[in-house]
Amino acid sequence: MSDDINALIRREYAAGFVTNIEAETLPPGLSEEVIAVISAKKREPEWMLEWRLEAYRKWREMQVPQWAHVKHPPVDFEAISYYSSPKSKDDAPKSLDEVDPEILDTFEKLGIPLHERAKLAGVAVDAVFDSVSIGTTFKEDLAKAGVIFCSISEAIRDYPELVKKYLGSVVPQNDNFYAALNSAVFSDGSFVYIPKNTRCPMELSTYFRINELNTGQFERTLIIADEGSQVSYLEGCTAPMRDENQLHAAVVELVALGNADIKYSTVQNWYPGDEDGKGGIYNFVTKRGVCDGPNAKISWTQVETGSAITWKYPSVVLRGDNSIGEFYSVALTNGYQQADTGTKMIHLGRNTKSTIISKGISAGHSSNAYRGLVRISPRAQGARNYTQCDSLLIGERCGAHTFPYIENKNPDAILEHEATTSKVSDDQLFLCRQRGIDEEKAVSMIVNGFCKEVFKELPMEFAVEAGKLLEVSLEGAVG
Amino acid sequence: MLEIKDLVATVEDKTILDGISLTVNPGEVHAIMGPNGSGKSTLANVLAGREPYAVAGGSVRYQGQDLLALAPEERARAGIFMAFQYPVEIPGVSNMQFLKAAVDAVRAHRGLDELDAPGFMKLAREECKKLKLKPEFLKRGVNEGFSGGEKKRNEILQMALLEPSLALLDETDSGLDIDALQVAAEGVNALRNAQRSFIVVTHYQRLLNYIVPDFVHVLAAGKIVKSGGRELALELEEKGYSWIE
Amino acid sequence: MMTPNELKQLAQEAVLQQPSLDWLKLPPQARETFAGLEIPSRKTETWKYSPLTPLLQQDYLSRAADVPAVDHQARKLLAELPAGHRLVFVNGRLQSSLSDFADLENQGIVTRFSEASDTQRQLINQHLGNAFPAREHVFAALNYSAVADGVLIHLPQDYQVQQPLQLVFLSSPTEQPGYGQSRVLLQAEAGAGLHLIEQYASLGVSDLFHNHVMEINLQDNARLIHERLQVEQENLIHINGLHINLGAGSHYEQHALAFGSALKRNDINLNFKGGNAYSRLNGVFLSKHRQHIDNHINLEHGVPHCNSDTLYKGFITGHSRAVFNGRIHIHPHAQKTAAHLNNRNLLLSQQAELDTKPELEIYADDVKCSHGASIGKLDESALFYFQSRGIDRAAAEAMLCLGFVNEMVAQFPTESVRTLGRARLMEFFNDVEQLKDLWSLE
Repeated sequence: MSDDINALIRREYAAGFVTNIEAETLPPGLSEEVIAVISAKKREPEWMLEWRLEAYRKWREMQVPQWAHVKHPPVDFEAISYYSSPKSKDDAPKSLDEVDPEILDTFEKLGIPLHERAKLAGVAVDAVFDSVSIGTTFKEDLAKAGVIFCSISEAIRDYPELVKKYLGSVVPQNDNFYAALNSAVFSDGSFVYIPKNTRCPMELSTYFRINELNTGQFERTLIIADEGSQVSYLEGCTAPMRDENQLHAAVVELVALGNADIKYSTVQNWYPGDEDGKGGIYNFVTKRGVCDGPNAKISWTQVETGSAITWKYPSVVLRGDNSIGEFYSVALTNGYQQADTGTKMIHLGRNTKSTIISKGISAGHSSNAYRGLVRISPRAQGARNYTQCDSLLIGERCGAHTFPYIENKNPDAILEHEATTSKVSDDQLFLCRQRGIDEEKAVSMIVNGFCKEVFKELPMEFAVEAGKLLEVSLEGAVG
Repeated sequence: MLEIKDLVATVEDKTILDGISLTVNPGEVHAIMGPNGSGKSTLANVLAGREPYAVAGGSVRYQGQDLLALAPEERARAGIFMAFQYPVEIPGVSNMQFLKAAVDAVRAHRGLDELDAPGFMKLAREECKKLKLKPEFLKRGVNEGFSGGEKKRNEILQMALLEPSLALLDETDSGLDIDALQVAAEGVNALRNAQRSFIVVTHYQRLLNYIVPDFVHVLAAGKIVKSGGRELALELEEKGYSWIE
Repeated sequence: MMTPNELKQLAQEAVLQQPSLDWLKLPPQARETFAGLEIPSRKTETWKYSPLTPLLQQDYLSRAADVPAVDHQARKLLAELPAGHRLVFVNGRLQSSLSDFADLENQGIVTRFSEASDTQRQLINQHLGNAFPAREHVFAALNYSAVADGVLIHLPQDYQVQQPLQLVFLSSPTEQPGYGQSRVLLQAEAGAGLHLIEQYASLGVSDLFHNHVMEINLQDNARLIHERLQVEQENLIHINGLHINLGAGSHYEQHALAFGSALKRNDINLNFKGGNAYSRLNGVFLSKHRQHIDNHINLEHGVPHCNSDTLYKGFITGHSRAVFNGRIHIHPHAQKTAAHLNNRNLLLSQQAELDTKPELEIYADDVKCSHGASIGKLDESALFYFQSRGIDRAAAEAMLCLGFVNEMVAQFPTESVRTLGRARLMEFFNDVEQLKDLWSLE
């Protein structure tokens, strides 16, 4: 490892500024009272409060999971504030015009303009600031197509039947420790319903921003694609630079009914902590989709460059015959970041197919693990899985790990798993430099090339952003 | 020997052969030519009984029996031999084991005694020699790590040992240089006789310089669009397939 | 059925109370280690797919298995093996009457622990238990908790043993369920070389729990070729730990064939301790009926410039369950390592299960590592190829299965071991008798 490469391991986090607005934040700590307050603030019906309390009681019986390949001091769940919202005159803003201009500026700075004039063409955005959805664009256009896209709080009030039917149907309250916590305290998030045989007319997007100190963010996303429908959904996240670790424990549930197709893309750039490993987001997220009918398809694409610790396994339960699950992932860790991420593909139906392409890039002192499960049930005749996990190591103090679990109970299934490791070698860099390409450009080229198979799965605008994000995350980083 | 009538074959509901009729008498060599996708390889595969080709209509009678009712191995035992375009590799099973199992199965069907191991090895080595294959060739896994030429010669070797009545050569020339092509063709020609018939599927006329056919049929879009003698192949070479389309 | 805790208690009341050689240092430590360890359960990551149920179903630990008179039967079986030096164990105990190693004994190359000289005692105390991290191996700790005897194989510097040395472990029927514990310490000094043939076989159906540990220390440039056949009857419980240290420039090559049993567990731990060492692990495991077989391979690349190649194939049918876990661990600074591991499996029954988990854990960047795992069925185009040559489908399937397995068996260096392995394979595939003579064509 050359000194040049070491010199490159340094980063700048462009989204690290703090917005100065007045916020209404609950004091730290969690109890049934706190949950009742959250529920009341959101003017939720009684059944929702009951559901939350049920989750809370389950959570209290559960243990923090220890199996992931990550190390961190225990999280003090009593030191976290479970609700924070920007203060406004009365309740939630009725329209974007009523949103605090500071907040609109914040999103503008992050490249997500929300006001009418500058809305992102062709992308409907739901912006979530700390615990609250502050506005959704293009609502009327979507309504014409019958698509519901709103905050989950609105959905609970306006579409209780859909929420009751599907909330927790993919990720049950007690699925795991963090999912149970989320079920008890989730504050906001997005809700999407695509009616039968409808192709959603534009990309849907949610942008998550943590601002307040000592708050946790617990958003909940529920996407239902009815029979024969199609939707592409994007998710982005950032947080200010703070010395304290902040907890983000989201739950995302996807339901794809027969012949429906959901594409879910994430560019995750939570604050990763400083170069000494101080601060950063603990990103403990449960994401799961179910293909609940024949020929359904769910595709997860994620580009993970942020967070001090990432613990997430976007999964697909392939229940419908001929259904398809996909997972495309780029996880980049630098500094002292730790990632334990991967997927689960649970094959229940016949002729179900899954593809897993995971690209891990480790630099600095970071640790980057792929953890995956492919399970073929006895009924899943003709199931197929192809998994490819590649790791790229940059520097000699990082770690790259692969832990695939493959469980097969069907003789008619065909599974293939391959994993490799490689490095950005001094020879490669020399070749580039000899041809006149500077080191940073060369590294970014090599890394981008390494990730190509995943980037091509991202919607166009995101692919460009993801490429840039890698460049920034590795800035000065290799050489 | 072989009588194909109005044969229609499909793959995944797509019609590939669209009413083929062809009669092959003992000792005749028929060349089937045609552009890519015309269905010529499908014809060979359907006659050998390969999935996923499904017969949707027509009939094929072979030596008086309904060929289409037979399993692939029954057809093989009845004397139909297919030389594959892409012979599959089977690691761990030696070529010798494979050949012996095949010869035993075919001989048993013909009411002949099983050859004992030494006897069979002697026979196999002799045939190898004719095809300029080293004896070590027999000890390697079936087609495992064989060059393109070796694979094709292995097909001819199997043909020689199995002594078929009707041989289907599926693009035997593909991937062969001129020397390898000559060796393979000599192997085939050595097996020609008054009882044994051949259907030679090829894209290029080149092979027919070495294996001279009695009849040439041109396939396009699943139909025989032209039949003739040797000269048809030459004409085709000169004018290209666009001439018949 | 016992609980894991009851099993542990039983072990402490019975096995651990057995006397050990008084000069051995390890047993007291091992007892302490064992006391601190939990009997593996479903929640133990390294035993996740291998429940200990068969071991909990009856009491194996109250008594050491007796050794009935089996000489006649045993000799018949031994006749299949190549001639040469041979150590024969029955139900875990070395049987002089069946063994033949006087020459090596006189040269001080093979010694029973119980007959060790002072220098040999010193050597045993120095090396026994060093090759494995006891914490992770509860059964190795159990084994070393009570050591009344054992075998030391000590190869002096540059010494080459000419003929292969055979270790034969026979299980024979016993009056009651019982355990047999055996251990072998192989110390190869710098530049020494040995060819080892290890066979596990049965002289009938027995209720035996065989717990075996072998430790191998290869000093600089030492070489070992190791052929292993585990072809016992299926009633047996067999837990086997093989722990190897590789010195600089040393070379270890293994070829293994193993059948499943009520519970069979093979742990191989390889520690690279010096540069430019190499290991090749070839293995094939088969399970049918209600058998269970679990293969755990752990390659600790602790130093730079070492290479390892591992290929294991699995053949799983019936109601059986097979497990493969292969871990490559590249420590920080173990640069220029090339480590490749592959697991390929054929799963042929609707009631069978295969769980495979290849793992990479890498802390150095300038390395070439890969792993792969695949599970498949018989290749349709290969089956058609057979059929098109007149071979019926059942025979074609059988030949392909044999081919899949034979690819590994064909690589056993010793011809008589190959022959023996194939004979056992034919018994395993007992419905393909008609293909038996095919082997003669090789």
